[in-house]
Order: sequence, then structure tokens, then C-alpha cells
Amino acid sequence: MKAWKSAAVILASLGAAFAGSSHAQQKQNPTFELAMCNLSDFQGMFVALRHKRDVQKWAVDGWYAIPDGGCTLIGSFLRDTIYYVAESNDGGHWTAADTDKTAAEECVDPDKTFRRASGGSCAADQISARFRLITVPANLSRLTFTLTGRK
Amino acid sequence: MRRIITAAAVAFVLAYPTVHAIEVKAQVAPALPNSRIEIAYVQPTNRSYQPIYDRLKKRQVLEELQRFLTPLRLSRKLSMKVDQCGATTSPYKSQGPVTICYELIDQIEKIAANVDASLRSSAIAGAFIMVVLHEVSHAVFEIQQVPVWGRMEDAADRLAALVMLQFDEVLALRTIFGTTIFFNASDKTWTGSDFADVSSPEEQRYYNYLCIAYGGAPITFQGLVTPDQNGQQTLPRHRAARCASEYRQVLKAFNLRIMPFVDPNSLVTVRSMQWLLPTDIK
Amino acid sequence: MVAPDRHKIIRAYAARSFMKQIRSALRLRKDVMKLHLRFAAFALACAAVSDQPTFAQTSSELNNSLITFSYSPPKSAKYLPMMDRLKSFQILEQLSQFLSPLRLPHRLALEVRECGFVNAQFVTWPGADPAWRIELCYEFIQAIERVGPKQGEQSEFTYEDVVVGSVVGVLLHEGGHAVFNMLNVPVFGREEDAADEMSTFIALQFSKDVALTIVRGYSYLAKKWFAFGAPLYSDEHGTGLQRYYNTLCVAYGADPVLFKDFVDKGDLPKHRAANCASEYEQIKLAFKETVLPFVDQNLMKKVQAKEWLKLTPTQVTALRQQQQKQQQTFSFAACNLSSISGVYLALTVRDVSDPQKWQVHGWFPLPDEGCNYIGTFYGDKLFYFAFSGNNVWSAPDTDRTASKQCVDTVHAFDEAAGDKCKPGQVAVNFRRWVIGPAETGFTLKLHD
Repeated sequence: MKAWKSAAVILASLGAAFAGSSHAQQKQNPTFELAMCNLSDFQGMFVALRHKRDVQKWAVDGWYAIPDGGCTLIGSFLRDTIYYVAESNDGGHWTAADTDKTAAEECVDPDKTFRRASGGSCAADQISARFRLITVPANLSRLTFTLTGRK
Repeated sequence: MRRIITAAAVAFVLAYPTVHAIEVKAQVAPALPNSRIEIAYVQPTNRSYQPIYDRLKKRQVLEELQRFLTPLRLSRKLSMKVDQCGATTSPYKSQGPVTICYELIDQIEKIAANVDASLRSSAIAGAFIMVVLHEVSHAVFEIQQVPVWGRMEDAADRLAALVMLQFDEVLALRTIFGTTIFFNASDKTWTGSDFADVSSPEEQRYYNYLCIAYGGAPITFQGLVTPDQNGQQTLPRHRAARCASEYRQVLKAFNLRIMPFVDPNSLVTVRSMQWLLPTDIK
Repeated sequence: MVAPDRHKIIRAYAARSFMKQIRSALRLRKDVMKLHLRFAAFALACAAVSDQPTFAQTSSELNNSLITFSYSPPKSAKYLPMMDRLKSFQILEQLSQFLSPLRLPHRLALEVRECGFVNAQFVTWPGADPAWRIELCYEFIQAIERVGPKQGEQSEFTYEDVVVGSVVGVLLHEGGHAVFNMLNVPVFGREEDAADEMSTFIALQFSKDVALTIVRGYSYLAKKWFAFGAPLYSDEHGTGLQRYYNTLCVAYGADPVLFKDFVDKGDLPKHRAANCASEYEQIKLAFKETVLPFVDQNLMKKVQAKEWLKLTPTQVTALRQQQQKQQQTFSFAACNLSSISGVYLALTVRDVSDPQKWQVHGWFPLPDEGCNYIGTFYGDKLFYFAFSGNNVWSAPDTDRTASKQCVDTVHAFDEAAGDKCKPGQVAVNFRRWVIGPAETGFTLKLHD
């Protein structure tokens, strides 16, 4: 087998050109694409997101199904942060710890699709969840976020 | 089919050293033979099968089968014979007979020749019993007009497997072991229209027997779910989890639809006896 | 999208899975409706769906108070249109009417819901109310819509026939499991085959059109979807092709005139066809002795007298629209699950922007112990090659499905496939991956 040049050489020549499939690098693009993957032992994963609707306003919506052992492209969102919670049919939970000061608390509809503005008190059939922060690097046009965890 | 199974299959038998060490002695069976069952040993035209004929006759294999089936209250006569068939099997047709072919016994013996000498008799006996029970199952389904959901060939396998588990641990191990050796030996690859056959692929039948065995006797057959060094089980987890209920299902079907024409006292007698495995077919 | 082990789909399509308690399942379904088929209510429901023929009078008698149904709102917004579509087809109303002649020992629920997996199943959930449930997942419907013949594809069946026939066939299969379980039916053969038999048998008790639609649809599903990939002999289901031939055989055995084509076209080999009449008789006997005693004969006659599966023009249009939406594309992601760091991936694919041309793209970096969502590509297959230092993921020279392409060992590159290697490039064997017919995407996982 031919000896391969070290990965560092390729990395140097690559730059950020192939971080995702967008070939045109737009450093000032106000949005980014979010893909999420479920590599955990848990199955039947659903994710809810808290994302910027515009400069000052935030929206919360769910749910997005993540395939078992696979990835899905969720959509485009405004930079440069986004928050998530995840739960699986078999009891997996991904939420922010009580001690996590970067977390955001929002109301979610546990059993059906929902979309609401951030904040406000929870309706009778909603529950409160602590969303975890994801910071999106400035030069990344698409972020692939992978959920892991053993049973 | 893949051979990784063989080592594990042998392993679970070897875990029971009594299996090959037992020299089962001939016993006079007190049960009266089933008068509704007729037997015949047919002389083979091909001289090379003559030794098989002689051995079977000497061993009184069909007579023993007659006694084994004593509890069955059949509504019609059942004929059973050993014969030369021109093929390894002669499928059961309506009105019978049940035929065990010399060609099949020959095939079993050839397969068993590759088995360790200490396990060879179990391999032969087990496979032979599986075939006999399978064919008798077909006959029972037909004669008694038993309602059968699912494929008839699989039903015969499942009923045969159920019967194998109604006796002692040693008999269960030897018959299931012989069955796995027999199916494992097949190198047929099934493709395309092969799958249109009424029979199921050998590897599939192999797992069917193992599942009934593990489902009915999980302690005896725990070797089937013991992981090897690669973490693999002989009986994959996803199937093993269902086997207890698969066993219960066949047992329930037996109790609902076959037990009604089985004499319960006679059945207890038969189950209490030590059945001679043909330790010396060779 | 969904990219688990292919066989899981087939395994998961197992009616008798006794699922573990899950949090959402314990919540009592507030939207469970009792089917009270009063004439007025039914007529109103019919009026709401524009061109439903009003056969309300007959249908109001097909009432079994033990059978309830619900269309559960999905958790993902993307299934909301599907829920509405299924409601407009009245799929659960019709199924409950169809099952109404059964004298059940307890309640049975029929539910469409978003499951988090691709399945249709009969389950018993001790925590649910009622515990006995036939569940149809939105994900499963989506898979069927995808598996159907593509627009412009040569097929002997119409899209709507395949979709309707296979969905009904599947529901009858699950109904078979429900019957075996609830009525304590003795099953000597394998239960999955028995459920297939039940489905085909029931289909054959109706008009020729209904029988043809269900038999064709279900056998199409078996051949196109369940038969994809290597057979898993340890599974409790038969292989896809076994199920395909079983279905054809039972149908041919019941009516060798109606299903003459199966043999004439060579779909059903003659050596099997010869046995089919007796196979059908076997099933008929089994049904007569183990199930028929639990069937209300009057209601059964009414069910048989009704016209089923007649699609209105609106419904045909809706289904054809779904056909149009099925893209000949798939999404692709790759994960590095090996202990090796700094892995790069190259792909030989057809881009959506230029679907006729195969292109070789490199390099896509894969995060250590993580994934990279790469993009959407055309067709049903791609070829991949990955490396890190001297560790390589490729196809051996003996792999005849592999594709030998040139890669640049140092720089990023983007070449037409099949070109001769330029200086600085080297030819390597890309390994092929074919996506399943029901899948919309897959995730490649590289291991040690």
C-alpha cells in the first residue's frame, strides 16, 4: 500500500473548504446548517431546539426525529448559538444539568409537535426543560452534532 | 452454510460429558406397540445399501418407533417403511406411507464421518431421529386433519423439535446436536427461485430447531446464548429473546390439537422410559 | 435518514413485539375515540371529506364497540400532512369496520402514530388502555410511499395500487397476529408466515379487484423491500423472497384462473405452483377450525358485501402527488467510530445538480468519534474510500462491485469519475454502498 502523506499536509491545503458540502465559503453568512446524529445506545430519538428567530427573539420548536445510529439534516438557523434537548423512546434524556449556567429553560409539548416563542409559563400539558447550549464556530457553514451515551 | 456454528454446537454437547459416555443398554419396552402403525423394511435394489438395511433391521428401529408412538390414537392406519427412494427424501403424501430413505441414512453417515469419533453416534442418531419425527409429524397432521397455520414443513420441524424436548436432557442434547450437524453440513447456497421451495433453507431450519430447544430447555441449552471470544452467540440475541414464547406456542398448539388423540397414561409410560438411541447404526 | 442495519427494518416489522414500558406509552391517550357509528355522525364525517361516497347506512351496522381507533398527532411536524391524508382516507375507520365481525375477548385499539422507528405491529402494552393494540407508524407509511414505483419507472402496477395494496396487506398481517394472540389460536408453523397467510387468505375472500390489489401490493413489498440485502436466516421472519413466493402461491392456490399470470410469467415456479391448491386448503381448514367460530356470520356477510378499496379521483391524485414527491436522492453522513484519528473520506457519487455524471470528491474530514453530515446525492448508491495515515477503508481487488478511481493524495479534489490519474494522484478501490429501497438516507460508520 502506498505511503500516504500525513494528514497534516492535507489539512493545511484543505482549509475549511470541505467542512460540509457547500463549496462557496461565506464567512459572513448569518445562518448555519444543523445536522444531528444519534450514536447512542438509545433508540427513537427526538430533539427540540431553541433558536434565534431574529436578532432579539428566540423560538422553541420540536420535535425532530433523529434516526437510530444515523444522522439527519435538521435545517438552517441564525448564528451563532443554538440550544437543544433530546429524549428517546427508551428513556434517554439529554438536558442541561441544574448547575449549568449557560442553559436556557423553556416549555415543551412532550407528545406532539409544537412551535412557540421563547419564554412564558408552561400550559397544562407542557413541561419545562433545560436546553443545552451549542456554540457554532464562525467559519463553519454546517455543524454536525452527535449525541452519544451508553445504556 | 457457515461453519462457525459447529464449534459452538460441539461445545455445548461436550459440556455434558455424560452424553457420549453413556452406553445405553437395551431395555425390554413394556409398552405395547401401536396397532395402528404398520412397518416394513424394504430390500434395497442397490446392493450398496444392503448394510444399512441389515443394520436397521437388526436394530429393530421401526419396531421401536412403533412402541414410541403407542400413545397416538390415530383415526386411520399409518404405514412406515425404510426403503430405497432414488433421492434422499420421499415426501409424505396423503394416505401415506412415511418413508425413510436409505439414501438419507447414507447421507447422514457420510456427514457424521467428519464428526469427532466420540460424538459420531450422537450425530447419526440425532439426525435420524429428527428426520423420522419430521416425517411422522407430516403424517399425523394429515391423518388427524390438524389445522396448521404457517408453512407445513416448518410445522413438522417445530413439532419434531417439541417432541425431542419431552424426554431427558441427554436425549434432547443428542438429537438437537445431530440435527445441527446435519444442517450445518449443507453447502447449498439459496438464491432467487430456490426460495420458492416448500422446504426452508437448511440454515433457517437450523435456527428453528435451536430456538425451540433453547426456548423449551434454556438451562440445558444455555451454551447457545453464551458469547464466544468475539461476543457472538450461536443463537443471536434478537431471536433468543423470542424462543421461550416460540416454544410455548408449539406446546400450546400440541395441547389443543394433538393431545386430544393421545392417550395420557400411555404417554406418561413412554416418557418415563429410556429410549434407546440407535448408538450403533453403523 | 434512517440508516440502521437493514434487517432491523424487517425484524422491526414484527407484529408480536412485546415492547418495554416507555414513558410516552404510559400516558393514557386522551384522543382515543369510541367508534359510535350513529348515522348522523358518520354522514357528517363523510361530508367533511368531499367526495366520499355515502354508504353510511351499511357501514353504521359494522360496529364493534370493542374496537377503538386513534390518529395520534405526530411529534415531528413533517408527518402532520400524512396524518391528515390518512384521516381523509379513513384508514382506521375502515379497518375497524372490517374487523367488526370478530368476537373479541376484550378491547382492541388501532392507532397510527409516530413511533421513532419504521414498523407496523401488534403489541400488548400492560400499561396502555387498551393493552392490545395494532399500531401503524407514520414512518412505515413513509417507507411504503418511497418503495412504490417511481414516477416514470416501468412497472406492471400503478403507484396507488401498490401503496393501497401493501398497506392493507400489512394491516391484515398485523390483524393476523392480533387474532392469533387474542383468540389463543394454535400455530404449528412460524407465526410470521401464519400472519402472512392470514393476510392473503382474508384478501381472497373478497372481490377479484380487492384480492388482486392486496396480493399484488403485498408481494411487491416482499420482493422490493423485504428481499433487499442478504437474507437473515436466524430471523423469525422468512426471507423476503420466501414471503413473496408464499403470497403468490396462496393466491394461485385459491384461484388459479385469476392469478394465472403468476405462473405464465414465471413469477411462481411450476414446481411450487403444483402444491398451491393444497396449501390454500390447509389455510382454509386452519381458519375454519380455529378462527371462524369467533366470527359473527351476519356481520361477516355485510363486510363481504361492501365495496372496499375503491379510491376516489381525489384520493388517486393525492397518492400520485406522494409519488411525485419521492426524490431519487438520498442523504449521506459518515462517522468515524474507530480508534484512529484524523480520518478523511472521499466519495464517488452523482450530484443532484448533475445526476447523470459520476464525480469523485475528496476530502471530507471526519471528526474523531463523531460524524459529518456530508450532503444529498442522486440515485441509490455511492462508493467510498477513507484513510488516515496508513489505515485505509477501501474495497479489496477481488470485490467486483468496487469502483477504481483516482484520488489526490495531498490536495482537495473534484474529478469526473473514470478519468485517468493525473500526476500526484493514485488509483484506489472505492467500496460500494447501495441504499435500501425504503431508506431516504444512510450513515456510514467506520470502525477499526
